[in-house]
Amino acid sequence: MRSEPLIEARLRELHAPRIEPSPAHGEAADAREAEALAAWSQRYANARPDAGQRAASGRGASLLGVLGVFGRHRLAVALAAMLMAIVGACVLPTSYEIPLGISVEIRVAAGELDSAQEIANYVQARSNAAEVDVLMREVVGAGSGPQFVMMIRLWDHELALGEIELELREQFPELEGAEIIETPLEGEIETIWARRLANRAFSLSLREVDVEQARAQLLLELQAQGFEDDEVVVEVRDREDGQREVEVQIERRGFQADGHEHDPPVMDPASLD
Amino acid sequence: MLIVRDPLARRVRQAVAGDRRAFTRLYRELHPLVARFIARRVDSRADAEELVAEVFRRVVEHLGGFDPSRGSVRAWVLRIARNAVIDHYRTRKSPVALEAIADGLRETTGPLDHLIADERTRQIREILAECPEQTRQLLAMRYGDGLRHAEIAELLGLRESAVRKRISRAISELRTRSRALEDEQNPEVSHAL
Repeated sequence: MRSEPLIEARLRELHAPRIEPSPAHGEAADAREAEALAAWSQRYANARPDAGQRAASGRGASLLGVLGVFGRHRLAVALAAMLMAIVGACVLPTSYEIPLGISVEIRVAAGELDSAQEIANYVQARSNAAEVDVLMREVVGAGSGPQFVMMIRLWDHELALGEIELELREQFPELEGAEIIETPLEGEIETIWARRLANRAFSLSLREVDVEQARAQLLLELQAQGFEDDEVVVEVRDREDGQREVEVQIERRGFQADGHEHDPPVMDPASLD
Repeated sequence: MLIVRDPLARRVRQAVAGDRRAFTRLYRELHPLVARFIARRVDSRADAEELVAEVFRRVVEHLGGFDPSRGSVRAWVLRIARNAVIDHYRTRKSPVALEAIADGLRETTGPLDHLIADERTRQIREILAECPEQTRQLLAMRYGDGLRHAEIAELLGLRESAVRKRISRAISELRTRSRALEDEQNPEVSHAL
């Protein structure tokens, strides 16, 4: 899967420092730290020479006191250890994949797919996808003749994987000899366990509150992620089958719904705000 | 509403109150950030060492004046580092544009051939070169300096949401254009989505 982290990795590579950053350890590093500490001492340590030590010894004494209490209560110590283990586990990195759409790739012998436009229209209408990308090209592979490849990417659609192939073959007899490959498009979320659990808790809480409260919760969450009020439309509905339906629309300024070739240059700062 | 407290601000407060350990921790937590920021803006190791030391001299000098209500400690220190780099080039009467140096743009347009590992990286670099200056600046700060969105926003005087959106859209555009270039140049490679 070609994914965004790859682009980010290349950006990091391109923006790497031109020289090695000053090391944090070693003789020179120690000397720099000592120099900074000396400068600090001149200004602040003399004002309250024992403040730091007092604070440190105070902390030490209170820590010993707490440990002493815990030492007398084994259960408390065990609980503390368990709590630390849980906290430790929560900051461990984790990742999970989220479904984004599907890709339908159709391969036929070159020049034989005159109905490409009709196929694209059919798939778009059938999938009810929020966004459809269509790529067409001729591929010349080693040891085989030229092939015409049509790739349809469906984002936020209503199709199950494997559902469209049979329909396409029925609707378009010219696809009889074509190779049709459906592939899920997935995104990987990299996070820590704490955030993942928090997201799950957030989803659960959305189901427990009433419709208006759920909507308000979602709006707050979107605001926290940097979206403005006038950029998002949130609707929460309770269906008759007992399921709660949440619809979030985010307006992306400068984005053109029709024709990918004519999208405005989004790198222009004037169109980014 | 979730209120995020800056843990470094507490260390600053303790260091100003005379807590040596707090200052040592503050130094050690900020050093990698400053060292990387400087290393992306100078060509000489000796200059980098001297500038890092200078930044911490200024940090100590102004530590008592740090105001947590005006921003985070990291952004405050980065502003000091940026000014130190500007002063460094000004002293040397360097012909390099001060703003370009301070905002880390030079490396996106400078000679980086030795860093280019493969064709795709070269493509990204070419696409980057065509991007507006502010986009390059945002990407350099995010992926070069490793700054958080909020820190970039603080340094550039923008809203965090605007920084997030611009970077996200820039990445999306880079990905699209990179794919298009790849498809043009290498038609036999099938899509591996």
